[in-house]
Amino acid sequence: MLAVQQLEAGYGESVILRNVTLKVKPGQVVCLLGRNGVGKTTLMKSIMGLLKARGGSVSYNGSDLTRKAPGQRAKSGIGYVPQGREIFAQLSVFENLLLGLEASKEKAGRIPKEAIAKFPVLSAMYSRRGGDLSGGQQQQLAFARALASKPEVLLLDEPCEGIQPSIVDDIRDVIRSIKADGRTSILLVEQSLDFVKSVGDYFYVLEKGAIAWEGELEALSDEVIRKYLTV
Amino acid sequence: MDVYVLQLFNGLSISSILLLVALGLAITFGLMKVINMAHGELIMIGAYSTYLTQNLFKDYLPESMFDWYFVLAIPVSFGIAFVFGLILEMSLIRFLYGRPLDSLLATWGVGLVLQQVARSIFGAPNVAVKSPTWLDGGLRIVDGTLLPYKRLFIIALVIVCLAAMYVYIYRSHEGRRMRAVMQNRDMAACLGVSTRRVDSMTFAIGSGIAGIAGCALTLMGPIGPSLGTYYIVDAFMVVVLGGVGKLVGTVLGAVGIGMFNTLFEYWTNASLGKVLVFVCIVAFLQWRPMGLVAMRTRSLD
Repeated sequence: MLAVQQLEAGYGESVILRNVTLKVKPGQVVCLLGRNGVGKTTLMKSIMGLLKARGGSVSYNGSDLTRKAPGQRAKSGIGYVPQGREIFAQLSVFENLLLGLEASKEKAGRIPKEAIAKFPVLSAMYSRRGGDLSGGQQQQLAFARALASKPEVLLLDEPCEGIQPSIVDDIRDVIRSIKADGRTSILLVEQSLDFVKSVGDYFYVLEKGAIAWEGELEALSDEVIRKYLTV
Repeated sequence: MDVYVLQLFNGLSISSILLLVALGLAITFGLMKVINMAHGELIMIGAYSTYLTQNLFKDYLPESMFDWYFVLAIPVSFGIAFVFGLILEMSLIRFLYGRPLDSLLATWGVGLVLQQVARSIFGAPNVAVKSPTWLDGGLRIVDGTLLPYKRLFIIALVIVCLAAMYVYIYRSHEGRRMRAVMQNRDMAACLGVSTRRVDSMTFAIGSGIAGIAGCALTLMGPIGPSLGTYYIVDAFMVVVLGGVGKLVGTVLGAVGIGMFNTLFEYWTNASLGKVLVFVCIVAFLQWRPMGLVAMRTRSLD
């Protein structure tokens, strides 16, 4: 279980996150909602370790990760698909996928078939440079790269941003199939309400860097949406 | 006809020396963006390592073995410069990533210290390294045109170094990690790549190659504590002209400068030739500031 306790984080002088507490239980798809600029991506970065926590803690299966480097967090089983995809543009698609294996516990050094099977389009593009792919293809590559190490928790930061509807459907199917497997839990940041409602188990709403609301799908009423999410 | 062949060969020879001197810098400056003013001193360390290897052979091994010291000197120079680079990275450079001016000053200081250390140990005068006899003489292609084996050897050495670097950077696991870290440090870290380890290894390898360059320079003449300072400007010039971050660019830069240098010196004289080369480089960089082979890179930030 991934647990964030009273986390505080920010950039330079400015504090972005105040007292954020959330949990991702095994097998769950937890969605993080909120308007632009409330700190969703900052929270993802702090969980991954790209931002140092000023206070509070991040722990995974009982072991404290708060002072650990991103690489160690990846090796303890956290996969990350960042906003903007962050593909290695000069490296080939295959090399990008191989880099996904760095955190893998198995020493075999082979990309798991399941990771590729979820994105069949990638296998035809192994030798192309990552930077030459379209946005949607890069998103699928980033997703497959994160799955290569067989993570137990997957952090997805806006996986459908700027993606054509058919690939959004593909990504939805992938998330559902991961959920059906039950081995990997997901923390998902996404703007589209329809999308999160179709995959999510539990919801947190961030406002001004703090958790303003949390609850299950049934409790996510129009009133909650109006209050925290409509612009 | 002979004259042109000889000039062409001289050009190639100068290019190969320039390239060897610049290859290490292509890694530390080109890939890592560290303005390493101590690069020349790493070359000097490589040269003195060769000198030491020679002395050890002279003192402890039978004379018949002496000619083979040079074969051992190449890996020894690489190893010693590698260790110096590793220590330098771990104790100093790693605190200065993304701070070009500070690293420039700090590495320049390190360079001065290393020069003085060399002066204290080996003395200020130049020392001679005796080339192995199998590199004496040359290849006679036509009467009056002799291609010295030493220079041919350096050209071959550069080709071997280039091939090894290419395999390491583009074909090995370590090289893949290295390219990933240099392109997108944060994402590489998030995937589980140890960026600290990659940084140290990359810098150490760049330094080691500078050591090999130093070893090769012992073939060209006597060596001294300030050996590196003669080559540091040329090395930076090659990397900048070639375009930062690409091996191909460094090769083209070295060949370009070497060839033009020889041509201009042939047409005018040694000092004017050098001036003309500088003028050409300045003009070229006005036209294409990114150098011969431009690559979009994410700088270290």
